[in-house]
Amino acid sequence: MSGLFPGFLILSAAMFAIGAAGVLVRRNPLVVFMCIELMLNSANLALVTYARYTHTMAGQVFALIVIAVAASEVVVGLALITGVYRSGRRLDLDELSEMSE
Amino acid sequence: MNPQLTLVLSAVVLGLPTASFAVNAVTAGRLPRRVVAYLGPGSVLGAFVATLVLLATMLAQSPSHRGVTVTFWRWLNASTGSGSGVSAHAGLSAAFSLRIDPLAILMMLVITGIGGLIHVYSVGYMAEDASFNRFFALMNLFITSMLVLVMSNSLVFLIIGWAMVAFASYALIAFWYQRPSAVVAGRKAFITQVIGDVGLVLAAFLIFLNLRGPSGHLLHTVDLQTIFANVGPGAHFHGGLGPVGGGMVTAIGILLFLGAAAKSAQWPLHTWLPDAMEGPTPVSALIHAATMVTAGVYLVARFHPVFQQAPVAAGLVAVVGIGTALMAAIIGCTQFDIKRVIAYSTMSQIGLMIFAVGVGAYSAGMFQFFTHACFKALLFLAAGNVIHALQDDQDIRVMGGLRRRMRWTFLAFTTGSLALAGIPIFAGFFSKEELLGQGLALGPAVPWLWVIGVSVNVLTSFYIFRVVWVAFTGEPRSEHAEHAHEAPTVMLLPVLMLAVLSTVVGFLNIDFAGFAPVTVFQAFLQPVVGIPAAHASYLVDGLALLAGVLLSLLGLGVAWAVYGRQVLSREWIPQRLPWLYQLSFRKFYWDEVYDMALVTPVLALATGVRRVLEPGVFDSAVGGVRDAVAQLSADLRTFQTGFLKDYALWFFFFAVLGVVLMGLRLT
Amino acid sequence: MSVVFGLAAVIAFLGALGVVLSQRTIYSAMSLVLNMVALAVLFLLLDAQFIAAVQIIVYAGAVMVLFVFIIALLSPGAEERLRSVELRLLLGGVGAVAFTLLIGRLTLNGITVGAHGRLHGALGPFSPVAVNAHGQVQTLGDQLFTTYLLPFEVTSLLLLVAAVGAVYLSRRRRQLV
Repeated sequence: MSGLFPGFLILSAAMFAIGAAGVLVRRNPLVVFMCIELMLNSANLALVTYARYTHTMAGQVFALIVIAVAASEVVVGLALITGVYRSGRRLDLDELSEMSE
Repeated sequence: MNPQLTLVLSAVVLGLPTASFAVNAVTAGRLPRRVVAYLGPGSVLGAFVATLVLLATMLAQSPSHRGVTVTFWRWLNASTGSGSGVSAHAGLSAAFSLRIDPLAILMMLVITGIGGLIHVYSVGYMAEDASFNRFFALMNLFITSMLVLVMSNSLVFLIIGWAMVAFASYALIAFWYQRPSAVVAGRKAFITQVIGDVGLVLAAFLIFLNLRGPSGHLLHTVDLQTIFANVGPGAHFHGGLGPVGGGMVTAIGILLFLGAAAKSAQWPLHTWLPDAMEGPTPVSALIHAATMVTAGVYLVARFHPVFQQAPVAAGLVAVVGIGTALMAAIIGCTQFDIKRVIAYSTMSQIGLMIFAVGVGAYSAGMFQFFTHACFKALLFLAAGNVIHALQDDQDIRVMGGLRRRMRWTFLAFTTGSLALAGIPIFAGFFSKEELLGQGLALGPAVPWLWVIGVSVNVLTSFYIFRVVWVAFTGEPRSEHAEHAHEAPTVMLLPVLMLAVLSTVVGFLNIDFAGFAPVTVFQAFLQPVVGIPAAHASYLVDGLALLAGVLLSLLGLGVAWAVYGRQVLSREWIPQRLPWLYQLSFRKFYWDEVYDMALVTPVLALATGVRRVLEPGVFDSAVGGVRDAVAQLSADLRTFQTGFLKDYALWFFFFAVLGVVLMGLRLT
Repeated sequence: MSVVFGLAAVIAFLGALGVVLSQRTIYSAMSLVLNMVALAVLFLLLDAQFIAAVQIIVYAGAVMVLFVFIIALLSPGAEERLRSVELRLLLGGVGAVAFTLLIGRLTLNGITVGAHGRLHGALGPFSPVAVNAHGQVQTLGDQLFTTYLLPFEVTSLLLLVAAVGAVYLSRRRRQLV
């Protein structure tokens, strides 16, 4: 069991990197959101792993809070995406550049 | 005195005007006028009733038990030790504690009593004013501040009251802020007050830092009773503020008097008082006649242990006081503004009080304060009636013939004038004779002192009856004077009550019960200020008394001859002694001197800074910063592409950079 | 144990890759579900039963259902490829590998694991044995409502704000964004 400690962390790092790459590469906002979820999940994995191996509870508590944060983020994000869609634009992040104004 | 009862009563005295001020200030004009008209005066009169109860409980005690200290809360408590002995060295504790003793209660009676009457008067005087509630808010604030000043048992709260009084005075002088002259006058008064504040604060610092207890250790206290107990006579060489006449105690005395001089409009800080007449007349009556300007007298009387240790400072107080008294009396003879004449009269009378407390005749000075508050408030309010009737014209040359049109006001003003001039049975007679007699008995036996005292006496009765005859007799000299009407009842009632007071309060000082060697006021104030060594009452000296009365009548007679019957030419002095007339009419040129010596150089300096320093240094510095920021922002703006991906990329780039740096630190 | 870990890890990894590489959005979503279920298994391995349950219920259940619902609602087509060789995808892959190595190197840096699955340094009181004796959910609840009460309350506020925000954003009006 103890030998698995690095394994958990490496998996967490890999998931984080994949998620980050997805955020940068994909243009569909829905997929970008999913990639962010992926990154949050990887963070959760690291938190719980450390909590387990340091015999503390903080990691689990914050994993729980991260899940709550992720849920609220998804709600707001999806609302934004539907809003953009309803305004008649294509769902492509490279075409949304109003923030430069 | 029962400390609990005293605590409650003094809280009521302080709390009522404060509450009224708070209500008036917070509602900011949303209260109906009727409510304000009851709230403002009612709170002050309520405080007066509480003060009377305090006085009654005090008089029930034996004289040695008439002072009581009540502590409301401790504040800024930084004492390191238990508060006594060596362990308390580096401590400071500015408790909010009050000292209720005969001196304080005398002041409180005048502040709330006369103040209450003036508040009632203001209901009528300010009835037409748009800022009715602001007026009463500020008046109540003034009453609160003044009460804090006289009741405080701590240097800290004394200074707080001292400064708050100055602020209230400023705000009330500049009450009609639409008039530039009022704003300028308010500013002048405030700046002068601050000069005095500096003196008082420095004196407080010096006392705090240098006062030593009996065993020679530094006390570091702001508690007034502790200070007076340790500073006074009997303290040996190590204690107090050093030996009698030492440099430290003299410096403290002079600094204290700087504060007193600013507040009481004594030379050289006197020029603000005549200008302060720009404020509404009730303000002049309350602040610039009855209460605030006498705070200097109170301060010197309160700090008499310090002045008794510092003969040089006390001498300075006396000389400045009598000098100001003479100067102001001379100026008063030639002014045409009715309020300014009374203002110079106030300055002169306070000069006499300052002289009295300077030479050690504390009870005589305080008695003069007491009667003066009555008759000077009366004079101001009666003048206010006149001004009100003449549509805010204050020049006595446009008055005339008001005797028949405003009978009660004429009667009241004449009563005030008789009291001021010191004609027998009126209040001023008793106090002025007492003051001059004791002052001359205690002061140095030099003839010029007597000459000045007598001159002030003659001049006083001359200038005030000049006003009486010019303003009230003869034929009306203007349209407004022709159609003047008597004031409404709400204004007339306080005036007449003050007229009665000005007639009778003098008798308070007579001990009808027997031929005690001291007067009633001396006995009353004795627990606080003691009785001076030479305590012979001037009233006993029949010859001097007769001389004083005759001299007052002389002044009155001259005024009658010049302005009443006009058997003497009023051009006599201007023609024969033009320099003297000009000196008086131009107020001894003090305003011009200050303009030349202070205002002009400061303005020149400011102009120089504006012309040279500002464009060269400040503008270019500020402009340079602005340009640099603008350029930097323009450069940074190119990063703002609007594409989410770009932002995310930068974000990750720096996140990775941070991780790498962290790794470099770890390995 | 190691076998279970290995299986779950591989599934999680493949799921993660699937999210990024799938052409169609719905496949991405399904891959993410797969990844999350695998993560829940890993949480169980780490003695975090409550987190595992929440992972299934909230994430794989609620959040992903919401995702799928929105995908069905908007029915976005496949991303058209801009170039024949997706350069960005290549760069992203290289970056991801490099980043994994970096993070992996750092997380393991200086950490040594002792004989009984213990990290060096001071350990907290919540050993798996103690937690299981008290009850895993009870321990977590105790901590959440005592030591971590403030973060918990702030989180609840955040959820409220998110709910209000979502309602505000999805109101029908003429111009959005």
